[in-house]
Amino acid sequence: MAEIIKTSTGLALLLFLISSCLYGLGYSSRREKLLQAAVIAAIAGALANLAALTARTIMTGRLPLTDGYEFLLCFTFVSVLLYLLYEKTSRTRSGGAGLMVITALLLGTVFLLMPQQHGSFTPLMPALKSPWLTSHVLTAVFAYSAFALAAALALVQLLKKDNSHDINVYRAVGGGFVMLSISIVLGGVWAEQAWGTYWSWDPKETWALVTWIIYAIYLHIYRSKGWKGSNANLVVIAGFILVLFTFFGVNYLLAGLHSYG
Amino acid sequence: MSRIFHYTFKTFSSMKTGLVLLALLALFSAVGSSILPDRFYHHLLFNILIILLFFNLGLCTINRCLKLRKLLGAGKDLLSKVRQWGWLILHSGLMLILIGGMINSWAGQSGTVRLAEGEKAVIAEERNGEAVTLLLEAFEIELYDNNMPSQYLSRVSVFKGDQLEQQETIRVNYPLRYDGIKIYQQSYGSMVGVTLEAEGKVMNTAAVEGQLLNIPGSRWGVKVFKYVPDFDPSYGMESKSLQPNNPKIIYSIYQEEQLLGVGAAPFGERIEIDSNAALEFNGLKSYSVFKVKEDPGLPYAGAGGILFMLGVVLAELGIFRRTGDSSDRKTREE
Repeated sequence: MAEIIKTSTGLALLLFLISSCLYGLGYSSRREKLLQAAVIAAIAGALANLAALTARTIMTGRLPLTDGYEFLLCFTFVSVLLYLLYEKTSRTRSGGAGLMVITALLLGTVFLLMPQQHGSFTPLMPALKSPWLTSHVLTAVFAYSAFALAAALALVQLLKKDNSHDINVYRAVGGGFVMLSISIVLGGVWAEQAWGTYWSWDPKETWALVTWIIYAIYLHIYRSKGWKGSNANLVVIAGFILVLFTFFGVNYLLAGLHSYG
Repeated sequence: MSRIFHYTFKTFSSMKTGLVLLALLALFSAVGSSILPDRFYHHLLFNILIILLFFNLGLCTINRCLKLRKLLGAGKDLLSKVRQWGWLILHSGLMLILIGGMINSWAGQSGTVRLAEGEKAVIAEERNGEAVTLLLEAFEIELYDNNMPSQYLSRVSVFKGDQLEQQETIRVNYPLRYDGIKIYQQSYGSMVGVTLEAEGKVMNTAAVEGQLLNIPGSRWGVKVFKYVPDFDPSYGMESKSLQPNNPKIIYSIYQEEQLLGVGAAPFGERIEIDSNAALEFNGLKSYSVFKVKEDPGLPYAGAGGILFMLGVVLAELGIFRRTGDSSDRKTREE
């Protein structure tokens, strides 16, 4: 089972990289066939990612939502899924290259930072044995994925100096904001049950709050003044950097109650 | 005077001020997470910032309520109206969460209680003239097949005066609730029985892990560092498993606060420090550590959390509409 997980994850990484290259070539050469091939590679990558998640679920006997390794696998899968959904509904392919690079890099960190995790897992520690685990982590996965999509779209707008997809950036941020807000509240409910306090300024909580504030500011200004342009895009990208710091930086640099996450 | 008041009120209740305060909160929160977080977030200036944000949020919400009829007026479609309500519910929820937090910091109480099996302690002095006590009947660690802990269970009884009120098993994630008090499983440990001998005198005592005991009438001290149920030198101070296959106590000997040596001894083995001083570890008792708290603000924070989630969903409803957000923007500009 460990080999299946490792191979599927590696295959997903490779396919996401290929997809990003094809998207890049397709944009620059304006060849529709290359863009179609990019979509096929992205779908194949998502399927490989799903295979890794399924194998992990069979191996552990529970949903893959309990540690950083499993979170990353879910994060990349949902990010690509959201992107494909976006591409289908908006009938545009902007942001594909950026999003695929982000997911490939995230999967790359699985091999760089946690290579031993493919075949190993630990049973749930007592604090994680809670009915709140699934809803708290799942909403965080969707929030992070929506922010990844927003950042990819914002990056393309910055590079192209074109703001025609501002509304899509706003929609992705809005969707992610809803999920992040729910995730923070559900996390608070869980923390109150497990640790006796719904807010303890734990580094993960604090940085989730900082991320939430950055996106709240963006949404307020966008909705009141129709904020567009490079500054708005930069804020969305900065928000995603904070998301990544909340995940990697807090796990590896700042010790806290979420050290398993 | 009234113009100054009006100007101040308008500035302080504006969204712009709110966003500046939010940005400051983000900045200071980020700084605080790496600089003495225990003190930083309790500093007066940080709390003033949160209070200012609370008032700004309140005034913004009141302003919005006053304009509600206009915001929900004719010409607005149902989705826009729902979003306006969502905005109000979301901000009201945030305020309730902050109110809950403030009530807790003013009137809430929290502390830890360490109980060995069979011990009891008062957890609330006054409940209708009688003290509430907690008795630990038994403590158990449930293990997985690989000997990792699966759950910590404390079987406890709650008494009011001499009257048994409640019997329950407290587990991680499943606190006990009694009359506004919540009791959480926080941690656990072992208390080691120690017999100390010096100058012909014998003393029996007990020590928690990490505790330093001075041997009376001598210059020696012994620190009961750790109980290791399955000692294996290749694992260092960590236990090979949680099963008591080779139980030993890791200890260190001190002479006037200077470390002289470290050792691992089984129960019942006499350890000679010198010709006049000796010690022996002779038993183990589990203890459980509980967090006991009363938070009168919790119902407000809980209600705030529900409103906040509901509000944020309603406020963002319709963001995927093809028409975009122009109607909402117009409303805000008004």
